[in-house]
Amino acid sequence: MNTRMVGSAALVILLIVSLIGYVGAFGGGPGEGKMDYKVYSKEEIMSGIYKVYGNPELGFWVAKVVIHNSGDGPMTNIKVKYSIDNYAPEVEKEYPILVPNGTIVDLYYPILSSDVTKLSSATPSNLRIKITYESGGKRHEETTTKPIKILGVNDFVFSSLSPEESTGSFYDTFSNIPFLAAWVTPSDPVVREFADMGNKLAGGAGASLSDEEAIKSLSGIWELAVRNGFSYKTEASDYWTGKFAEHIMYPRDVIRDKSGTCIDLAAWFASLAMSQGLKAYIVLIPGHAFPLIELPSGTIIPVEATAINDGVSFQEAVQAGVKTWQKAMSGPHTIIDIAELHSEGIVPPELPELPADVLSKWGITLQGAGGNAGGNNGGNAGGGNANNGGGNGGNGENTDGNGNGGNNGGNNGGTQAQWSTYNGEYFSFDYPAGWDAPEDYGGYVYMLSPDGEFEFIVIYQQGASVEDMVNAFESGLDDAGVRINARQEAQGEIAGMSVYAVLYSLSTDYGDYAAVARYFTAGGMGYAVIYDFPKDSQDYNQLGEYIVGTFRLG
Amino acid sequence: MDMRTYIWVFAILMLFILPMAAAQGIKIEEYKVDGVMKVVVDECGNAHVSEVWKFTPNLYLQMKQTYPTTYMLKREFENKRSDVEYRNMRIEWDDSNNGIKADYTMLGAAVNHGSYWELDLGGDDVTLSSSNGNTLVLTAVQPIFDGQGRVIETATVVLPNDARNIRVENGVIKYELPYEEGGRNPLFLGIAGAALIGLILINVPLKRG
Repeated sequence: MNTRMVGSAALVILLIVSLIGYVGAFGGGPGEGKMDYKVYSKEEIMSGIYKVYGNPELGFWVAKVVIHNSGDGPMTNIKVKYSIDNYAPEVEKEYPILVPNGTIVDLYYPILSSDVTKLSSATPSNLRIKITYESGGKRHEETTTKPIKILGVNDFVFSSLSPEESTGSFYDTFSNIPFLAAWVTPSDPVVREFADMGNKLAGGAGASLSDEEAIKSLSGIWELAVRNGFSYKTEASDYWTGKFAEHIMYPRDVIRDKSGTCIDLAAWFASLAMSQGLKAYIVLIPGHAFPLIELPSGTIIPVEATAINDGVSFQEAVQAGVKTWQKAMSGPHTIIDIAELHSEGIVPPELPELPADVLSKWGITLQGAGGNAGGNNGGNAGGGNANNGGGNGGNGENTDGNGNGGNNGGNNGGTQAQWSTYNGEYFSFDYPAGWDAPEDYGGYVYMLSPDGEFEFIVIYQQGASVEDMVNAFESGLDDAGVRINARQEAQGEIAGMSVYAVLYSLSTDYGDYAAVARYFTAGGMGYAVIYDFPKDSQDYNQLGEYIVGTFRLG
Repeated sequence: MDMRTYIWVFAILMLFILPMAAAQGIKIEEYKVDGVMKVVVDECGNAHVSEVWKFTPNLYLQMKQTYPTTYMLKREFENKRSDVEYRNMRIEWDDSNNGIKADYTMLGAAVNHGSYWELDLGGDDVTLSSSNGNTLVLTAVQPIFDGQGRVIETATVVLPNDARNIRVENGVIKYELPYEEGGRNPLFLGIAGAALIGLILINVPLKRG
């Protein structure tokens, strides 16, 4: 063997070895993909906005799957399948390859069955996800199931933020409010028919032609509601104060029941206005909601829809609306543009078809309900139960359609909780209608429950600081012989503000009491808003929080 | 309301500022937003992003009202809420410039479709201003608040070095970056080439002058 042969042999071996190495026979060849994945999913679906979830443009996914390849070879032929038991059939997404250290973020926008709109209460279901892929010549499969709650069609969750994420501010508490647009139904035949009747009552009006015609049309619609005894009802006590969810009625339900909460009535009147070709908005402020209507000229008029309760004219409702609007502008508020949100895809669900004569079946007539023509809430309340209502229900025989019966005295003939409003020079709040009205003693407003166990006090003083107000209240306790056993400082909410609050444990000659005080300044005035109640009386505690929730400045 | 938009961070924030802006709809104001963004896409499809946004003072105030704390700002980018998957999110207010600065990595920003990759910038209003090799400069001008304002965004997108056949179609950057199977180490190929040359040199007689 000569040197050339040996060298050639060595080079041939080197050539072969390096080519084998290049194709990966030494273990550095195509490795295997290894999947790590994470699933984020919504805990609940609001049936009322079920169409929103199926629209990727809106970005409200129900599940997000993050697939990461932590192996040293590719994952191929990746398939992600999703379904929701009974309400969304299986759909599949495909990705041909995921390189090592690569990530796929896949979003699930389910096309939900319209059957969800038949749900009247929350219904449990399952979100099922199956991921398959190939790696190293093998097929792999992973499945996961997540519980998901399908809420009833009227259920509205005001915020999707978890309690630990929320700052408790107004905007956090009501972060889902744009979805309210799905409760505004200008195309609902029931709404259109009601609006048409109102137009008829107005002597015929083309609302979109001019401001004058629009006002005429809206006045007719309002008048129809007044004649038929529409009323305002308050929310359940946990509405604004705790659970951030509410049963919101569709406008047709308001027409059927002839009553609604402020938010129901806002959606109802906005729907009616839009059915006549006008633009409408809904304003949400802490503890209240009301509609804005844009006239053909672009002028915007606020309407205090809850004033329907008092049987006032449309003009008066607008005047009240202007005051509400002014209050709204001085604090946190959100305005939703219904038409814009509808155009973006936040649209109402399909509502069940109703008979053509449903309005007459519901007792909606041009003359008003029963022998109640023009009597509005007065007559209506008079026929209600004895709970604070009815007493002043009057003018039921006033047939001119403008009867002023009812008003605050008689507006509470329904079966729900009854409330009156204290309107002071600097602030207002609601209180149980059967109680003695709060009295202003110059510097403080005082209210006592009929059983003498619950006090609600608002102390106010021009130019006072928070510290001044704390001293004023606590020295007042001392003067009255009330001992403060413990005081716990906290943050509280009132009138849309986050304020300094103190929880007191008190001892008196009559027993142990608790007090909750909120101290703040606004408009150069110092305030202390306090309520006290027998220790452990949760009912009075809740009542106090409710009243505080209705407290408004201005 | 597409969150996976060209102006990623800004788009998400504006989702929540809209109600505030609507509140101002009664009076006419002018809003301007200028954004500069750099996106470096790695070979796995992850995007490493730096963004700077400057607002007119009126809009900046509204933004601050909607997101009074940095926590609330950052919260919008929680992965459980966002439609992308972020890592290393750093976002902060810049009060002295009425702006927001953000740096983050967006996992899986570019999707491998087998024969090509796709980086969805969102919206047809993105135009290619210039390109140089694997670097693209894109601009977008969008009206906001019913024409009461406008957003101008300039984005520099740097694609992987080996990206080729790069094009922008309807706001989507497409490029090819074939996946090299593991083990095809070019070092082995180099050794094989050297061995082959050695063989030739040893065994082929060379004319020597």
